[in-house]
Amino acid sequence: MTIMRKIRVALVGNPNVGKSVIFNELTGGKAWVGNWPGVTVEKKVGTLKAGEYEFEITDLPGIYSLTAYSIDEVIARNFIVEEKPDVVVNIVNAASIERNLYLTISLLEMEANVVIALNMMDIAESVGLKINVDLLSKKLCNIPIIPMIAIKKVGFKELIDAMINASKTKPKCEKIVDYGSIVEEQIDYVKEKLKEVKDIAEKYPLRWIAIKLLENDKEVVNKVRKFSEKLIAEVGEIRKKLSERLGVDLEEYFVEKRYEKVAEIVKVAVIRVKEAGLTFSDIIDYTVTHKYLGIPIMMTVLYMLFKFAFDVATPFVDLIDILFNNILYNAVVNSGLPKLLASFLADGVISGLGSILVFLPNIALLFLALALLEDVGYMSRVAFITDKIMHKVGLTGKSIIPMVIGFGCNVPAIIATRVIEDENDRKTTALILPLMSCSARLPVYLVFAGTFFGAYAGTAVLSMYLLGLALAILIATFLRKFVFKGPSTGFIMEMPPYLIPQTRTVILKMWERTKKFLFKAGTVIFLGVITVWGLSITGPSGIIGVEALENPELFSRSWVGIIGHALSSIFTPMGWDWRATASLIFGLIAKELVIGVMAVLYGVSEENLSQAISAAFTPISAYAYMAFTLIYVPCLATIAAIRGELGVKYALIALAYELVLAYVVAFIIVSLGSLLGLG
Amino acid sequence: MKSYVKALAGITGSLYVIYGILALYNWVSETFPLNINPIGSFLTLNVPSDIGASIALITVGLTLMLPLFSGNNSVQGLSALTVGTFLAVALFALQILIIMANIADTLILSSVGEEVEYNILDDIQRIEFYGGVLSLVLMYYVIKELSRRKIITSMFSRRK
Repeated sequence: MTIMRKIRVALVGNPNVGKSVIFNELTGGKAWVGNWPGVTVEKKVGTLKAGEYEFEITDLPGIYSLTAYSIDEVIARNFIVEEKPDVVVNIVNAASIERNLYLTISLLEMEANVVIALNMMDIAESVGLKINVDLLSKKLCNIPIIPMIAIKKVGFKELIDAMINASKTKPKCEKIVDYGSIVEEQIDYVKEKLKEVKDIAEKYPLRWIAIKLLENDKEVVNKVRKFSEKLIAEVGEIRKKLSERLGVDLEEYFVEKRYEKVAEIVKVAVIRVKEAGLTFSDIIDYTVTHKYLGIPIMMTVLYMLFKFAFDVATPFVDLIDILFNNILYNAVVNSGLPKLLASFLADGVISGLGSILVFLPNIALLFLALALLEDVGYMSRVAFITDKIMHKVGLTGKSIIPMVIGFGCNVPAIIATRVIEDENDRKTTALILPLMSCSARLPVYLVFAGTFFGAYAGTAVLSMYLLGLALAILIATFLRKFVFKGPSTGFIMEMPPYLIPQTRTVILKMWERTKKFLFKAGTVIFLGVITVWGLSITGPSGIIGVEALENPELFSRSWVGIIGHALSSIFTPMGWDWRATASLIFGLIAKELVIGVMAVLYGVSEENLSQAISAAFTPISAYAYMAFTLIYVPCLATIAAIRGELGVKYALIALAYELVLAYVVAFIIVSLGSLLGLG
Repeated sequence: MKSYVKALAGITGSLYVIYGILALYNWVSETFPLNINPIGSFLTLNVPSDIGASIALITVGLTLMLPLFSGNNSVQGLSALTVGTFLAVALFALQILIIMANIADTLILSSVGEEVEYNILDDIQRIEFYGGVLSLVLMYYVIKELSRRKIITSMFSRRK
């Protein structure tokens, strides 16, 4: 038996450099997906076996630099300095080499064992760039550079060989950037001082730590402060003096020097053989990012996206519905099983799973369309064209991407906020996302609007989406003005060239996101439905029996009935009865549950629910109920996502503000309705 | 840009705008209590009653009409024509997918004994369908023109 040598590899690069394509090609698309410790930023790890070597490949988030300003950057650099992978493969877009090399320089400063995958060589050539790879390598401490065209599978064998060779050597780049004698003297001084701090000296590259301390990198400063408060104070003094002497902020000075180094390298290693003419992307962007046409085109694309996700999914939705609510349900009911077990399986398991899985086709197609748009490069344009509008409410253009995803499902939307570098913008966006009306709330709108608003049902539903948007804007403005004060770090986003989407990448992206929904359906929601079933057939007196599901009188004696009765007094001003209140409680588990539970509580099937609620609500109280469903506490999975991204404190803030806001809005609707004589 | 292309783009664009405005009219008539009747069809094509469709149709139409107001060699004109035809063809493809989905849905529901009425002509007699066919002609010209100007060589070389 041969013993395989394990090589740990980190893939790092700017966004849109083909990192996913390279990762998928190397690992065969099979990745273990988890979260980075402490945050819900996705971590993908895959393996590759080549001869006697087994590679463990970690896909780091797409980043431009290694500062402490965004979670993605902190994750990437912590992984490199703390986990110390054997090889760091830096994927560089050859067509935008000058901008990409900044990250390379930063990696070399961290003394990482870097191999460059110089991707998109064909595009570089088409835009008139000729890269002298040997000279480039020489200028970058002789690190291996592999020219690649990942999309055509060119250069992978060479890359694997380079990774094997690099794993056998030690990084040999001590000083990639010379910061000038005045600063270098101080870097050396701080380095010497750091040698006395054993915990730091043993773990981290000292020159990098010294530079970061002089840059006043908050994360590194806090790390060192734990061991030597004195050193931090001393570095603070040095920083102050150096800034005065150089007449510039020291962090800016370091950044400038790195860019100068990049420019110097590019000047000798890259030749422009022809002037870059108009590209296909230029032609498209001329209209797509147009001052007046940009927004309508974006709305057209989003219209197509939702039409695709909802209309095209119809047969799949019906298939699932028939399978669960017809075939499986009847099979269990007629199976001759004991009544309690049959009810558990039919009313609990099958109905519960079926009511959730009918959304699967919509969600899968929505994610497919979003993955397509992302892969083509259109989502960056969406962020660009909406930036001006978003800035008016104190957000950034990048907030629009999670907001759009939020109309499908709030959970991936909250995770998607990690593309926003500015922490204040990120927190604000994550906190307003539950106000984006996700697809789970649609069944509630459809039932109520269909029952009470007849021909104007469509408008009533549309008004919910608009109400959500208006409240989101209002809350965002409030949060940015009073809670997360301060200017945004601005909008820096690359406009990648439009690319023909890769089927494999698109399918994988869709699958990973859909899997999350399936996991949610299989765990939180499923357990929720089973709990509802359990609490519906039991009460303080013990087991009431499955008859409770069909007998409202018996039902009112169940736990669900009692909780509903207890809370209904709070909602008396809105004119909702205990059944409506109890349904809302179960909507906390997942909003998809509201209608199903309501049907059970009113003792009717979902098809006959309209009749039941038309007697229990007035149009105004129904409209207030729709608004409350839109605004009140997002589902458990969304709360969990907020907790993961921002922490418990913000999850509780989201819970609290949404409950209060929902109550206030519903109360205003009912009061205004009464005033206008509509109640 | 050849004048016959401009003319075809102008005609196709105008049709999209007209149906977009009619869709808006239908939506308004069905949404607000104005006592006006929606228009079922115009020039044998069905008019939707959907604000989203209205925005999409007007946008595609205006984008396709833009080359009429730009010079023969202008980048703006070629860009608008490219984007307009791409959007129109995307709407066409989407309409075909919807037709396929509706056929599949009818078959599924009929197989379990539900009564379903579906007339394929309702989905075919739409501007998204016929406008899409016209846009395919425009797309042929766009691809030819972009190739002539050596603009799409890099894009299509990546597809090999």
